[in-house]
Amino acid sequence: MIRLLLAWLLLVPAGIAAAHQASDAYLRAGSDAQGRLTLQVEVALRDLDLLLDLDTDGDGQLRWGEVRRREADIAARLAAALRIDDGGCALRARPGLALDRKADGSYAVVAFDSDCAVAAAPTLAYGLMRGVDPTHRGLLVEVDAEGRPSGLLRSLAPGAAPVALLASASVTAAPPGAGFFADGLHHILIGADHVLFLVCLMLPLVLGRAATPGGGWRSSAWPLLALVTAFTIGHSITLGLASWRVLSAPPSLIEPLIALTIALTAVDNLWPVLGRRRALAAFVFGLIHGFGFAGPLLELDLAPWAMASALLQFNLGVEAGQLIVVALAMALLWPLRQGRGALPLLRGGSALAGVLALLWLGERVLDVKLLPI
Amino acid sequence: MRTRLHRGLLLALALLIPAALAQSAPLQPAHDDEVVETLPAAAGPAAEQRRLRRALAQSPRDVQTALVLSRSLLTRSQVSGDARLAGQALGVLQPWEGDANAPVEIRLQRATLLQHLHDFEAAGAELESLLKRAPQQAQAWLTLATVRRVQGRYAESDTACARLVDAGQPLLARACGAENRSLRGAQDEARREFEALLRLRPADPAWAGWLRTSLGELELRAGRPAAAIGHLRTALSFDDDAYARHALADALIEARRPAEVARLLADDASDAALLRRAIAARALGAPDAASLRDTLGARHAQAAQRPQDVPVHARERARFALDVEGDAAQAVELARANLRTQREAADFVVMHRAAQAAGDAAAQAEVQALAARVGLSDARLAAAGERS
Repeated sequence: MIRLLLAWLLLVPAGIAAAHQASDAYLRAGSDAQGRLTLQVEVALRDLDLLLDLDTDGDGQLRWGEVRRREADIAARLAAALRIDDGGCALRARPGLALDRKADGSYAVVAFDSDCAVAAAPTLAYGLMRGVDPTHRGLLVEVDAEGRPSGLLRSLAPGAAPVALLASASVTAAPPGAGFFADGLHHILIGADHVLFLVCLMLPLVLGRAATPGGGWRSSAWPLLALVTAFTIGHSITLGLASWRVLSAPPSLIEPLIALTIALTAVDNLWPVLGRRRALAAFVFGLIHGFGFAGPLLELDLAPWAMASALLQFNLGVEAGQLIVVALAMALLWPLRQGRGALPLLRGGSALAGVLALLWLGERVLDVKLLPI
Repeated sequence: MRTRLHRGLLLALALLIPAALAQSAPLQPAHDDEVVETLPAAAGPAAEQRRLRRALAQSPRDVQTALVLSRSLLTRSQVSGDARLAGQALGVLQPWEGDANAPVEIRLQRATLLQHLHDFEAAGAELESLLKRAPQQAQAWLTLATVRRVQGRYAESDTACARLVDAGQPLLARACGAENRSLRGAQDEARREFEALLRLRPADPAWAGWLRTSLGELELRAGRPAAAIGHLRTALSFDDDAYARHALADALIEARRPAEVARLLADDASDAALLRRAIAARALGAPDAASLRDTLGARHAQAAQRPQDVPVHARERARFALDVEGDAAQAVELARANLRTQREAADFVVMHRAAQAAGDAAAQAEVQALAARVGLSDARLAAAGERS
């Protein structure tokens, strides 16, 4: 008994001789000249041998002939393990199996074409080595027309939920990182609550007494800039902390709080109490909104290094979206500031925003759907 | 936050750009009989594993077949240092994944594999859970003691060691406890205990090999590499084991006897051996120093493409950065990341040496504080400070 235990024990200490390289496959997703999805896959011959018994003569040496003659099997096995759009998009292997020599051995290189449009944002359910090696990963990267990596690298576990193959699907030949910038921009522009909050925040500066009636646009622009900056600093902090998983807050808490920030801002528009402390409030409210922005980045489950660049681009996208909202609102409201309708517009608009925010608050606390947005 | 961001950007620069799936041109061999890949250990075990795999395909929940195949794959992974084989060994156990009623041997094998793959949290949780059901499982207590020790959780390791008595293994319990006392700095007491235990079963080579390896590591921590070399050579004479061989290579490097490292590891192509050979070759100015460095550097670069919170085998990569590439700052980053999950004496030593080489006082203080918090006492953490 003791011998058996020891035989095992000697194997126990960590870091023995373990090789550093686990099983990885490399996937490069791009598009052809017609905007259709292409996928190049590199899989270790050792892994393929495990799946397909390539070493037919069993001598432990894989010869080119043994691999080449199984080209059709290899392509079929890979196509089956790479389900695009839940099987709705078939992959066709380009003839001409090739090899790539990497640090840990030789890899088969198979290029696939398809009929599905990149613009339709195809998804991939990855299943290579499923049931054989749970530590295997498919490392997926998006490439541009020249075959250069143009997006972040994503790590796919066999059997995990489908992922969007191309992060910047609608932007063909996107420059590196356009995906996350666009995500950030998109996120704020479709986020009705963030837009409403921004508009609510700036209303008094444009329409209220705070705006000097005779003053030019500059008298409103500087306080406005201060407010928006305070909000930006606030949400950048929590966006960063949440994306890096230093801090986390459940959406069930953050979503109602975001609605509450709108309601509070609207109330302050009607019965001003904050005064000069409005910038501080904008900062604190920004802290809350930042958690809301982090959702799309958290879903990606990026490594810390990838997160740094994604975060920067995403945040820039959010800022750009914010500028668009503020500029549009300024352009619409500015001509109205001196008319008799200015104050009623401020009060009516704020009241409407407040009611909307309270309805959202109710929806989000009680988890019911009352409004179309 | 700033350091995290800083590290993130550094790693992005270091890893993303060169490694972003930089692709060499795919090639097509001209002749069908050209050998394009050598499969590991083709002869005995691989053929047997193929047979077992076919048997399992017929009945995937056959406990005995699954255990035999999984253990054989793990053994090969340990000998050759091939992580793919450990992943496949885990794959064999997948039919029982998340099954709390799985046979104890299956769960123990899963825990052993998780530990081998450096997922110490998961390994510890699996062991604790299975020991609730099978408290007499001595191997599980022993593995749990090791996992907690590697994590730097000595008190929990002590508890697991003590439970070996109830599990019918009082001698193992004594050796297990002595190891922990030695980590805390009670070297003389632990040395006496190991020697007493050696005398109890002089004819058992596995027992002697294990205790001599423990003594060798104890002497390394005590700052006596010459004594360590003696014990580790004796250990290898009992049992030619990769772990003891690599420990001996480390002792020879610490004793500044690199020429013997090259001889010791000449036939060992695992990454662990390659690292020690590269360090020795650099110290000797040997002609193969550059090729060893490039081979290992390429393997690390490829492995680093997979995004992970703690880089795989960060200790080895830190030693590579420090002792082969001479990049102390990079070594500090890797050693620090490694210490988040793995806290063996060697993990502290590499961070300490890297921080010294980089002249990074904050990192030196950090590693000392962490060693104090864990309770580790190692002469190399103090002595190296006086050496330079």
